[in-house]
Amino acid sequence: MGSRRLKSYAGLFLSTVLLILGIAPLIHLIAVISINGIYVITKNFPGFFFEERPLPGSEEIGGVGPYIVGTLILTAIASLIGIPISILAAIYTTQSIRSRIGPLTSTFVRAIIEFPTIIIGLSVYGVLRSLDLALQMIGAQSPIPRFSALSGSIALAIVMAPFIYSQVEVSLKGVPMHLKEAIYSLGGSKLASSYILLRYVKASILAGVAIGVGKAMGETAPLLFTAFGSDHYPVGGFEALLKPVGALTLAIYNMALSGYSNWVEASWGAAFILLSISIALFTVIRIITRSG
Amino acid sequence: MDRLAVNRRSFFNNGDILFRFIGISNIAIIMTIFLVVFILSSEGFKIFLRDGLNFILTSSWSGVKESYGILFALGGTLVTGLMAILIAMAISIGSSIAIVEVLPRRLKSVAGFFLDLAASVPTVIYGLWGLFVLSPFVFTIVGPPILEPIKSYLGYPGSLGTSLFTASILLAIMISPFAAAIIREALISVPRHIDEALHSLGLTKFEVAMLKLRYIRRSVLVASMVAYGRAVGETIAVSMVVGNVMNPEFWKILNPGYTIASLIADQYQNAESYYYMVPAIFGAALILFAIGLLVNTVVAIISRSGKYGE
Repeated sequence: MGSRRLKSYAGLFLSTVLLILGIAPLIHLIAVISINGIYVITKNFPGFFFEERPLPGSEEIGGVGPYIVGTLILTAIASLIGIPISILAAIYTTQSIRSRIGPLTSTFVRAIIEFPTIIIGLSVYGVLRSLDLALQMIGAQSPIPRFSALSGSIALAIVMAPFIYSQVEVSLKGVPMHLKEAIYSLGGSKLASSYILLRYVKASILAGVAIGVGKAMGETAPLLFTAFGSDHYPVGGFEALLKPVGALTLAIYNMALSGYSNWVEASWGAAFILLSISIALFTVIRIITRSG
Repeated sequence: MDRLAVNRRSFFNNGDILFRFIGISNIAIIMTIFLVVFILSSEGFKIFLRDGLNFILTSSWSGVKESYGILFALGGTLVTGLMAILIAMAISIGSSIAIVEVLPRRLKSVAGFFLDLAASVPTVIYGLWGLFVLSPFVFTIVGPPILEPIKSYLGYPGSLGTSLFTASILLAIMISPFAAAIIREALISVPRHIDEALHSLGLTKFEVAMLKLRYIRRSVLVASMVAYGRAVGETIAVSMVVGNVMNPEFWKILNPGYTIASLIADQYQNAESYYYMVPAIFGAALILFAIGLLVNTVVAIISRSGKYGE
């Protein structure tokens, strides 16, 4: 009897140790990024948010302004493309029961949702490159250059859409049957009923959108072959969307591996900014899903 | 005001026709995914046409010689993925048991919060932490005195402590929240009558937990596959700690090396300078794609054949 108890305590103790091992790295990570990041940002306080990257190996910290702007542009355009398409598609899937397109969409989305995101960036690059090469043969120019803010946004939209789609699909399917019947019995069109349903689940749709936007903003890999990166502010209005653009994630990756101490320091500051935004987004999502 | 009401009524009644147009978004999504698969296969196929299976079975990566074989990266991917999943399953199973069976109610949600937050941190931030905190830590804790004698068997880390082993540890940290979420969810949703029946047998708490774990073994398997898929596809964080060195002896895990994903990420800037490097990168991505598809298919098969039970 005693040995069974002892074994039980040992097992539960081991589980708790493993839980601590699972959480400790995150807490350490948050602490290290915050301490280093805040230290770096205070060295060049307001300037860090809008200045450009300094010369490598110099004493200056400089700033990450262009990367913040780049991340905002990429995420905004990706959201403009990705959010409406994925919400509308999820509505169609759940509301048109006899359609074959709906289940097919779900199958495809489920196949791609956990895919390595580098593959998505690479595919966008591949399609745009083929398009460019084909158009060059007839002497024309591709409307979307492969290394541009626009192509980066397309890649992020493809990364983001499956998450929003599945979340909206699940929440629309989860509406209680008696409520659906009541809405259909109003005699309105499918569009009108969908609109009413959508309002009923708006909290969870908002959460889905936030999850998707958060994913897109934190992505690095799909941008390597598309947005490519740039260290200067985008200039020239809409023309700028056709040129390479920087992003916080790309900047952290490149500067951390650069080996120059002032760039490495800047990457800590950039990481702190990115981490703060993603923790804030996560908390918002938590609050929405808990209260909804 | 009157016209608005009419408009509203017509929207209310004629929306069926408009509704069909919404289906365009579905077609757009399907076409996009189709295009992704198509371009990957058609571009990647070129390198297989030239090199055949040698592309997978040899180790070389040289733009100047236009010679590409990704065995070293494929091996690195499989080795790091396997080590990461072993560590991650221990952590995720342990922490799920701890959260469901040990922790008091208030701490349960705190622990759950942190695990879910860990899953949402951008991977490049894990990479930064891995490069400047984890790698030196691994290097000093293993330490040169221990490293020197086993050097010829397991290799030696690069500067800053980057190695396949370091990448595996970082991957394990990154993927265990995903596995833990699935296992925890399954443990919580074990039917109440089964929970009560187990407790009524007079078993200890840990014995109950072990039996419950047996009961949800399908979910544990799904969790491990999902986590493995993530580990294989993770690009940026791995690229920052794996060393990015061509290491044909990928079983020497303390050497720096490459994974397929980190190879692609590392080579993006000079890909277009060489004639066959772009197809080679697509070929590498195609293999990554195949592994991912395999993992997703297995997950789908396991989940379809009943969530729990025999």
